[in-house]
Amino acid sequence: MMTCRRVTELTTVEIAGELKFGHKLAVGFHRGLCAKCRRFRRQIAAVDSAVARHLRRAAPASADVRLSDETRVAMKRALELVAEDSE
Amino acid sequence: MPKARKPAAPHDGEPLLEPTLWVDRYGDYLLRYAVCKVAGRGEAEDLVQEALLAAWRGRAKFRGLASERSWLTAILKRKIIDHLRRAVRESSIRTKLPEDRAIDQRFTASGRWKRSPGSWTGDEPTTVLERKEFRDALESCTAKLPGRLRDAFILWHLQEEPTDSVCRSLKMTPGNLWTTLHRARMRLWACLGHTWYEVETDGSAKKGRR
Repeated sequence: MMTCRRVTELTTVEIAGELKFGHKLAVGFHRGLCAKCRRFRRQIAAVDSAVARHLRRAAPASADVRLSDETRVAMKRALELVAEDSE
Repeated sequence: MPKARKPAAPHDGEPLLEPTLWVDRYGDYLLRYAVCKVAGRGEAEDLVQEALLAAWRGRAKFRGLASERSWLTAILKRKIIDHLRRAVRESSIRTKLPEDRAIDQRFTASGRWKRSPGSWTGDEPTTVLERKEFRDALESCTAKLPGRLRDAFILWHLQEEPTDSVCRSLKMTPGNLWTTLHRARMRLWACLGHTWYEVETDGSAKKGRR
């Protein structure tokens, strides 16, 4: 039987939806008998969907992630420069 | 952005395409979008600036089909992807990845779990993602990943492209890409299990919380 370690490795390929047919069978067979690997798969897939969702949006507004006044001024200046250039 | 396109909606009656107004209107939003995807605050700020400059140069392409903010966000996302690609490519000259002791120690020599993964009690990660404390835990775990694993993992999520084109752009074999992603996932999973679900680092259950 495929080892737990190998099954965890293939879980990454599985999440991407690119598991080959033979591996799909072997992984499915292993999980049918191994509660540890079933639990691992559930947890790792959940972490992955959370990461995916988190990355799709910007973090909610918060006081600690704001442009500093200095950066703001510098950005505006840089934009003014290119805008003038193109006029 | 996978979001549905919205009709152009100028804010407060101001004209569109006023680049210096972008900084005040969208600067903080764009920074918050970038900051969880790249390693440092400074890098995030640089990318926001690059994106705004690129947007101004490419303003002729803005057709008002998307909102100004999602147009700028799409340009920023492109910049972030390019940045991460460069970072991963620079660090992946080696063709063979070294052994990974963090993973080795979880399994016996015959490839079995040394200890069962601990049970996660409480809400699923996607549910609990609405809570700031969980997002902080997720970001701190992501920040703890070795740089190359982190960059490749984030990039994988951002690109939404087939594996072979990801591999080509990173000059990486599919085997190495899977291994890299697997290593990042294992660490993230262990870190979240430990910090949020209070499972011992060796995998055994500590106590239920949440």
